[in-house]
Amino acid sequence: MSLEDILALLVSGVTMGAVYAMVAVSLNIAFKPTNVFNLAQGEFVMLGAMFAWGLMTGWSLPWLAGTALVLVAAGALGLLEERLAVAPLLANARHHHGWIISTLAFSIVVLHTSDRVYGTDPQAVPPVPGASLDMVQIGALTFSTQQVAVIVLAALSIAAVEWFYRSTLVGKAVLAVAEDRDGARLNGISPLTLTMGSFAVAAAYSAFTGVIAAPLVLASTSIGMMLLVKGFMALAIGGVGNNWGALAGGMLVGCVESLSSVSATPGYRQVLLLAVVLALLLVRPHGLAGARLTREV
Amino acid sequence: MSRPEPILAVDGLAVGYGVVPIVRDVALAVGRGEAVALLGANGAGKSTLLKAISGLLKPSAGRIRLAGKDIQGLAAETLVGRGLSHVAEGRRIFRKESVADNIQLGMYRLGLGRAEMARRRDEAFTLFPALREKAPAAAGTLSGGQQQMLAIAQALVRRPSVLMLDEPSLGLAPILVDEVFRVLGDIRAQGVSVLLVEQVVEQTLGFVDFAYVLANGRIAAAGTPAELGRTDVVRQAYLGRAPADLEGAA
Ligand SMILES: Nc1ncnc2c1ncn2[C@@H]1O[C@H](COP(=O)(O)OP(=O)(O)OP(=O)(O)O)[C@@H](O)[C@H]1O
Ligand SMILES: [Mg+2]
Repeated sequence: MSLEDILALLVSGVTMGAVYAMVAVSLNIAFKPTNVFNLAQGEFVMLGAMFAWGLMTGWSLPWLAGTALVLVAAGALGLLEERLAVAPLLANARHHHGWIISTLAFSIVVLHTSDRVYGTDPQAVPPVPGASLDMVQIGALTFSTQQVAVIVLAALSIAAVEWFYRSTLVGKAVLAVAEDRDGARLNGISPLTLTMGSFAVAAAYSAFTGVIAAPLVLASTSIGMMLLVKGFMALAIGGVGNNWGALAGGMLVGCVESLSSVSATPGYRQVLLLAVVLALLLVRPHGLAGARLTREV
Repeated sequence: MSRPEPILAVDGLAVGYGVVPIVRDVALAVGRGEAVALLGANGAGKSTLLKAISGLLKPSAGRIRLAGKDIQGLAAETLVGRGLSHVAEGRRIFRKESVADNIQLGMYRLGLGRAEMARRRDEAFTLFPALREKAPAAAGTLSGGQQQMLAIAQALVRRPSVLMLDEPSLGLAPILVDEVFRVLGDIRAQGVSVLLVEQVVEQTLGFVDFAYVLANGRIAAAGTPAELGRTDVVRQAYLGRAPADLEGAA
């Protein structure tokens, strides 16, 4: 195998890793004020991809307008999910883990509805403006500008999310709710409002992930579950709540997956990936950054 | 001695965590500009009562009025915007956030501009100079006394009309307890009405205009510090005697 081949695999691994990282970040966003993992997050990526196909390919909307509509629609659905599947459970202290069933149920409804509406064939979605799927070669490195766009947008969006939590009053309020819900309420911070907002933003962020990933993976209703699982792997490796850790974790998952395609048959690739993740978590149970996050009192 | 017109009035209040009320049939009032104490043994229901007033718990019966308007059943985060602030038990600050951010979060509800928030933060730093030095530090790294001051500062920057404090001196060295009372004196001098839950009875009675004694979830006695001092009622309440024994004094 040539250096060119290995580099090409790494580029595609890093690109898919950026996508997995974005799924992990969306899980973090919804988790922060609620301690709930929204298991429908993968289906929101799928919806983003399918909506983008419908709006940009079907209705021929320009990319920016199409993307704006996708984000609004997905945000509204995220809000709907929070109202239907999460809020009633959070309001009742005795239903601590009911969200596992309710968010999974919501994701199944989304998946089956999408199958009905869009069919199960994979569809093409246009690349980000200015980028293309054509391969560019620089030395031994082959890549498409769409791949570069995905990596850059993942990093930029994670930087934006981190900036929001660190530098805005609303972001700090979300962290305050995460730390002490009643204490936040006594300071006039409404956990209810911030929870609704976080679910809407997380859903829109996932959908954006779908819009930019779709040109590479093709839009298909079946991609949600796989992305959710990879997103969780990135999350476990990066550490729950750690968005830059998620980026590192996602890229690791993407690269292991991509490189294993050389020798392993498709069936074994997932097994190999899982083995690597498990081995890593055995050594570092709290993820790569785990050492720094040990027990806070 | 007549008391000022009430800014906070509680009537026939019942509240608990499940079906059985912990606090029953409670009536109390805080007059405009008054400092009022709520005394009682551990487990009497003092914190539960404050949580019902501030909206963290929904009362099962009774009426609560703030400046003449009914507020029972309103959410805690709403009441903060109406001028009622509750500094909860146990120095409940956001330990992972910086001291400056904690103070800023205290103003979350008010929708103030940057400049006004900075001005109020500086005012708080003037009242609590130790916090100024620690502004960028995580609040969890402050000493116990500093954490209590931060919790009070977080409420004060909202300029509340009624401030409820739940055992602000708990676990502090005597010199810091004096410091807490000095600050409470300042707050009261600014015209803020204060409802103070405390266990340091002597100092509290020396500070307030009026006091209620809670025993087993009911008001067992009420009066000015002088009136309460003439009886044994406060001491008995802390020894955990049944309210029936105390009724004569109420
Ligand atoms: N979250 C809760 N769930 C159920 N019961 C509670 C809860 N908090 C307090 N209680 C019960 O309510 C009663 C009154 O508690 P509360 O905290 O109001 O007393 P307190 O007067 O503030 O005591 P202390 O002086 O120790 O703070 C106690 O019997 C306590 O066990
Ligand atoms: Mg208490």
